[in-house]
Amino acid sequence: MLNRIKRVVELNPNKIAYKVKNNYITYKELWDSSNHYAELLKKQGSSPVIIYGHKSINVVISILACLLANRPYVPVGLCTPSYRLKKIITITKSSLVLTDSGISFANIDVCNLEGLEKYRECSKKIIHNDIAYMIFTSGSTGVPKGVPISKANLHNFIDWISKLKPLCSYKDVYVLNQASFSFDLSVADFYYSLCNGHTLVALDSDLQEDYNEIFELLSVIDVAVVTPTFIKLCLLNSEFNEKKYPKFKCVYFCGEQLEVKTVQKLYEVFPHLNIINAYGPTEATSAVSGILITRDMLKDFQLLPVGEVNNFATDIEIINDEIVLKGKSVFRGYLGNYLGGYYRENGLDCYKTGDIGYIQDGKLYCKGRKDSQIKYKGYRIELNDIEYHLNLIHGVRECVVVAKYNENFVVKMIKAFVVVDDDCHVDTIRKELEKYIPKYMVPKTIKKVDKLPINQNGKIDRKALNEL
Amino acid sequence: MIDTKIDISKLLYELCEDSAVYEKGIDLIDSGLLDSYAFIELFSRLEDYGINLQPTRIDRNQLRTVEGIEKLIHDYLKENK
Repeated sequence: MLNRIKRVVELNPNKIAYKVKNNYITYKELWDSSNHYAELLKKQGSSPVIIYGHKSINVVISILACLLANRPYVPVGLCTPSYRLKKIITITKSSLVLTDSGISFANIDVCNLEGLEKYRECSKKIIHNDIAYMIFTSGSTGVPKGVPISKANLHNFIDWISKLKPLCSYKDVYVLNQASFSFDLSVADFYYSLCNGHTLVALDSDLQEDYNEIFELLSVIDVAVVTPTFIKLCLLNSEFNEKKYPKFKCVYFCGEQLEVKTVQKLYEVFPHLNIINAYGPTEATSAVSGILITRDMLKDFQLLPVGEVNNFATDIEIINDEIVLKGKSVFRGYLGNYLGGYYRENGLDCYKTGDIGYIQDGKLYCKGRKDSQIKYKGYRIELNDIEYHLNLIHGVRECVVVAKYNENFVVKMIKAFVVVDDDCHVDTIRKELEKYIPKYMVPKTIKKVDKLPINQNGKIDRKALNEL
Repeated sequence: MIDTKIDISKLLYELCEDSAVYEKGIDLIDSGLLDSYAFIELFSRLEDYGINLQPTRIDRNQLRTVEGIEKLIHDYLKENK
């Protein structure tokens, strides 16, 4: 993977590798800076490196520097509260947080890239590590789950996405990065772009709140790696069409269910657009399958396929209606003692995804979850994780968190129902919750109720809750 | 025929399922009520009423209050009589 990037650097030294707002860095500058800081990282220690930031150029240099230094990187978004960040530091046993944010913690070195210069005179550590990165996802016990992805996993993913049609046919394109680097959708745009000599253009979080900036940025984009929700926002603008955006040639969707009506609308305004629908959990390196969605599929399908059998990144089986992944893409188990859906079989790493799916006419379909995990705004969330942290709040006696779905079974909101002490207010609960979990996990609605409805089996009556 | 009597508070309540939308002066964006999902739904519902607001031509601050959204609709209807 690094050799691949090195070849790109040799061929295109002055080409822009990464651009965010008005700042950019060329391939040679990125490579040289990353190598420089990699040498210092080798002297600082050997543990995983937490990269706490958003989309700055320094974050991109930090990622590449960690790979070059043989130290796993752990991308953590700035929306992560320090309470959760501390848990991640503990789980990863990290000795370094690289950040420009100005936060500080006791017992761990927190600095920016320039701050690594203090290690210049130290000797290099011997580092043996086959982990490329670790991404943390919501955990049902309230503790975030660390997913380590090996260099071999990542190499397999890069190989797969670089051969995926029509992505493999593009030369010198601008690729849109929408997702934060802590969300593994970004693994697709980051590595597809850098390993194939394209230019990665990041949508900064501030820009996501400024629609004019989004559309200005989109005018230079050839390939967008986005969630369906992002494109739905774009489609609200009647000027988002092929005539105004002639460069826009391909969109790669992953992270959420893609609805037929979204594709229909896209084809209406971009008749020649290539639309890829991809699928995969964090535990299997961002994505394991993808398929070009054709117009014919819209006529016959209520549910769009997420892959085709002759083009999987890893072995996929359906066992008891569940999608089970085996082989090259699959991680080697979570950090810590948590086992989850991971197991080994005949020398292969395997992962029971919890996704209900089926294969029909050579195409893979995913139609929901077996458990209370949801996909919301592209993020993977365990509802139990939210309940766990609600229960930590003083004054909350009982709670239950539910997801509300639209007619196409896409989650449209998270609602919490709480039984609380008289002096416990919803605003306080919300503020307290934001100290524990990222904002995207905080329920949109927190409703006080006198008691939680119970069904005949003595369990929480979730159907009745939806009617409250 | 465009329905000019759209009850925005009621529409927002249907989208957000939170009576907080009825609170006077509540900031719909800062409170998280008008998140990206509600935003998409709101604009889609208004389209059903024949009101095609363009996000790129709107000052985001106008979406902060029910009154601001009502004014946007009022202005749209005036321009598109």
